Amino acid sequence: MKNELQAIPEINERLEELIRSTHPPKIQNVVSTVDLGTELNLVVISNGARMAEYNPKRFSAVIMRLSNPSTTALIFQSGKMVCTGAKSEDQSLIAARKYAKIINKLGFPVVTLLQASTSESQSNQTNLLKDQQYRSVVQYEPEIFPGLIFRKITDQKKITLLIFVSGRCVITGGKKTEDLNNVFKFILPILDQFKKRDLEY
Amino acid sequence: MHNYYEQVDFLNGGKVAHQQEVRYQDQDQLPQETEKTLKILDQELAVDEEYKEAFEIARRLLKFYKSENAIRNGQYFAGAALYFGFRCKNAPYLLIEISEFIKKDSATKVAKCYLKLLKFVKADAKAPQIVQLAKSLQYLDPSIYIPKFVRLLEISRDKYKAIVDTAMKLIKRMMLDWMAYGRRPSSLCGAALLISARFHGENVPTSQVCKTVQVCDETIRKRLAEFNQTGLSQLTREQFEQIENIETGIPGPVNDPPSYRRIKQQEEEMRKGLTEEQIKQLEESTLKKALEMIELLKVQPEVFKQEDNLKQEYPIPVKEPIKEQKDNEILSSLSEIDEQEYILNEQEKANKQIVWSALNKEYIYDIELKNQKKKAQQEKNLLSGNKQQTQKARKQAKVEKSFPTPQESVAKNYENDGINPQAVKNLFSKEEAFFAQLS
Repeated sequence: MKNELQAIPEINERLEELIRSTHPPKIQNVVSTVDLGTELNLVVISNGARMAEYNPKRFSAVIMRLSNPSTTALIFQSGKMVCTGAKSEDQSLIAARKYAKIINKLGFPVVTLLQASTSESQSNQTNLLKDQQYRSVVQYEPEIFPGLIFRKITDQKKITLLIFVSGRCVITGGKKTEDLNNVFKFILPILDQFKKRDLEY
Repeated sequence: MHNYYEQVDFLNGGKVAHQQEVRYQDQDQLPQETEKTLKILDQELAVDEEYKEAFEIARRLLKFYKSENAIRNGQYFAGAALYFGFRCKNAPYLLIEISEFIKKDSATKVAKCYLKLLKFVKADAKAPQIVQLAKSLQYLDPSIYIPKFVRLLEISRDKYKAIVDTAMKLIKRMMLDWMAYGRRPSSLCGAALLISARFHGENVPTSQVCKTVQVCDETIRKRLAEFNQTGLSQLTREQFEQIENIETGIPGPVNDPPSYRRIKQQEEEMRKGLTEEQIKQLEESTLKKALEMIELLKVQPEVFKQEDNLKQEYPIPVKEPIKEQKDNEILSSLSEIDEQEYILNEQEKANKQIVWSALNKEYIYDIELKNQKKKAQQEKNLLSGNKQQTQKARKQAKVEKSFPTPQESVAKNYENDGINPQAVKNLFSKEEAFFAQLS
């Protein structure tokens, strides 16, 4: 325990160095699911709202778009709704409320708004090698997908990272921003190990 | 089915050997489609002797997989398992080749099945044989494909070895130059083969290379362009032949991977467009964000105490009801929505309804049919006074009850259960013989 405590300032320094040399992760997409509490008549909604499309042969939900937080929502007959495209958790919340408001005005009593969200973020780093050590967690099949898929499962959280040779990294599956940041912090030193080092001839 | 076997036992004074065989065969066999596909692949691919073991590996793996998960689309799984076997033995067969023989354009489906098998092998497998197999799966070295592709290219035999050697060197160099990571091995091989063939005087047309390697010529052109930027491309013929150790013998710095270079180019172009002030602002903002992140992520001594982690989890259930209340308030007071902006007026609604009904005629028709059927059924049930016929009752009603001979009855009633018609014949012939003896 003592040794770990002593090592902390060094760990922090190293982390600082790493984070300075890279771009911090930026959230690109937040997906949230909302339960509106009533059955909906999709035909009424699609005919009543301006930015709504409904092709029951292709997909059994109404697709509605908002330009203000630029988002898209899939609205199902059971009253459940999926809102995608927001750039942050707060924006997703605002967008979901707006959709609910529209549906409300079209005549359906909206009762509850429960939300659960997943987010995805992108970060930019220096280039790296495809690592093989973490074989149980890592999947790299160049014939199938050019990036390396790193699945991290702790307790109940499942977060996936897509790591590319250029150094770009996509972190998906986190429910809160904290989760994403934690995974980022976890993986920085690992990736640093596999950074490309200039050989000297 | 069980009663049937018991009767057989009684009549024959003991267990019947061939019936037992049928039972064991069912458990051990793979679904028909899978076996079929494996046989087709065996014929079409014309695998070398040393790689035949891959089929055994594939069959074993599929049996293990079958015992835990169901196999649907057995044909794709066959291809995926075979690919798995080939990888274990480092055999030069591309996933695309295998999937071409199963069905055209099915490479993505075979790939999905392959990933499922991988997951099974890495995570779920309990049998030690499979775990061993997993360990033998290594990173694909693109150079294993080269001898095979050279053979397919129809080049004069005396130049074979030379071309293969140069191509191997080129690929080694590509890997060191960070050009190979993330790329399909077939495209790299295509580029290397093209260069080495031309180098040795064989004017192989690009289209032929594309066909053997199964890559489009646009990709090969890209690879050649990327290769152009490496140090190796700058050397003349004599210099290349003189190199002894390809890993260290080339002057110049090691290259960045092409995707990284592209990103840097994009950033530079962006910077050119902005003025100096804007550049400074950009850098400041990224620095700010980095500093924030550092603050958030600093490892703190309290983290090591487990009790604090538990405390952090408790306040969560308290948060949710508060959020619900807020939502209700906001819903009622949200005046940001302009009715006109988002909701159509009466005439627009009517117009949209007309257009939608016209576009979705069939769907509306189907729904009407469904509703009518439901109504008719409900009326029937009311009239007859019965409960609604469940699916089970309907199934049982389908089974016919009268057949001319008991043999036919057994054969036809259990057709779907997979009964062996030959065994039925044998059984009934034995029975007749037995009764004939008696009388």
